[in-house]
Amino acid sequence: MQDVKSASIPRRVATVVVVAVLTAGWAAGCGGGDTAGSSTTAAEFSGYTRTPAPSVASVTLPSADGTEVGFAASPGGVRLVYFGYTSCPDVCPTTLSDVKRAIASLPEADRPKVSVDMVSIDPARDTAEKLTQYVTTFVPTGVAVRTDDDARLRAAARAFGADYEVTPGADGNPEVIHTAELYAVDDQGRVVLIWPFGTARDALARDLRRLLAGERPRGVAGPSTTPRPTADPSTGQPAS
Amino acid sequence: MTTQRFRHLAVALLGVTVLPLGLVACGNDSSDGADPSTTAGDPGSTASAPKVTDAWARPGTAGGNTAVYMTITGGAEATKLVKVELPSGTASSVELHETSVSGSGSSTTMKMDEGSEMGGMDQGSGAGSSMSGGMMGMKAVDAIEVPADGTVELKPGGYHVMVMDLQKDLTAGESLPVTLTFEPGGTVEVTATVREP
Repeated sequence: MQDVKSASIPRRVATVVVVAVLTAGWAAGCGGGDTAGSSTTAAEFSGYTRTPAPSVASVTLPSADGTEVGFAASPGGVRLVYFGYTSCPDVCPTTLSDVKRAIASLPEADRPKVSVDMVSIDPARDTAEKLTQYVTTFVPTGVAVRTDDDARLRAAARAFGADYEVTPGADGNPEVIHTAELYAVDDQGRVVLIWPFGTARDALARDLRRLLAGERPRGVAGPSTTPRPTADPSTGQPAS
Repeated sequence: MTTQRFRHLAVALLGVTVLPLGLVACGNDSSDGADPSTTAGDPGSTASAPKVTDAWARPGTAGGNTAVYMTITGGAEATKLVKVELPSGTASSVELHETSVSGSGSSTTMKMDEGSEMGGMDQGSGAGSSMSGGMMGMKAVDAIEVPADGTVELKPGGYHVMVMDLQKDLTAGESLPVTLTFEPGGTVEVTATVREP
């Protein structure tokens, strides 16, 4: 007996049923009564943070249309930045798909507050056109960011805490490895939250909502609405 | 969809072929043992014939890459998935791949959320550590082992069928015939639904 026969249920119905099963699973807390994470108090974010939160306020890279892109979010907003590549069939689309769903789960008025940048770590293969098509498939307003200047790319990645390596593969196709994390940048240009690959989609959405509401992980100062000194004495860096 | 949910869904699909009943399995049963009743009394299948359920493909665009995922349940005899074929004109090449962590790119302690969708596999090695925060990469594998009466999930962050250089768009809602070759066990035909995860 082939279970594949279950595919003989009309496809659309099957999809709906699958969605329904998942939704119901969520509602019922499917996946365990021991989900310690889900019972954590509001103090915990699912993503993690570095202390101090890395500043990427001065980092810029060219977008696919040639304009320089800075990475600070719009006032009160959150900028999601991902270092990936378009030939990536598994990890990158999983994350971008989660981003898409997370944004869609926000109240409509909040959605424009979230911007998404995908920075190619494989610019040799990712043409501006290809990269733009890739990112906008997931997020229509997503910005494709690429540079052929590896020193610039590497410096930018380092500022976020991202790393990557592209090496010639045995089969002629480059082998790419990357940190595969998603970064949330606030309107001060600080990386306030980092989601590793493996973060559950609903956890990502929950964190995003909280960031938009002005919450910050422990160890990260509040959003820009909080009055800040003109210079931080501990770092000597002017608040810009 | 999370690992847990995926697994539960897979269990539901395996254990109970009627989908809506999956809700029951999903909601109240955390046992990972697939219901043996699905394999019992099925004289039509050979002892080694694995079963494939919940096959799906990620949407993709012509010229791009994508992946196909599924759950494979072994029969009485261990087997290996050695080849996957798609209809001609679908893609330039199709390979079995595994996503895994190579090295440790960060000393920061990772804190994983519950019910993560990606990473860890019940069977096999490597992907279980997908969430340790190192650099992630993919490598081609010659075969995917399917233990006797065991289950292997091909899912985001682990094993997957890598579909390279699509010759046409794959759009959500489409069906994609997939031919799997097992040694032993022969070929199994399944239909993957193109959908977003």
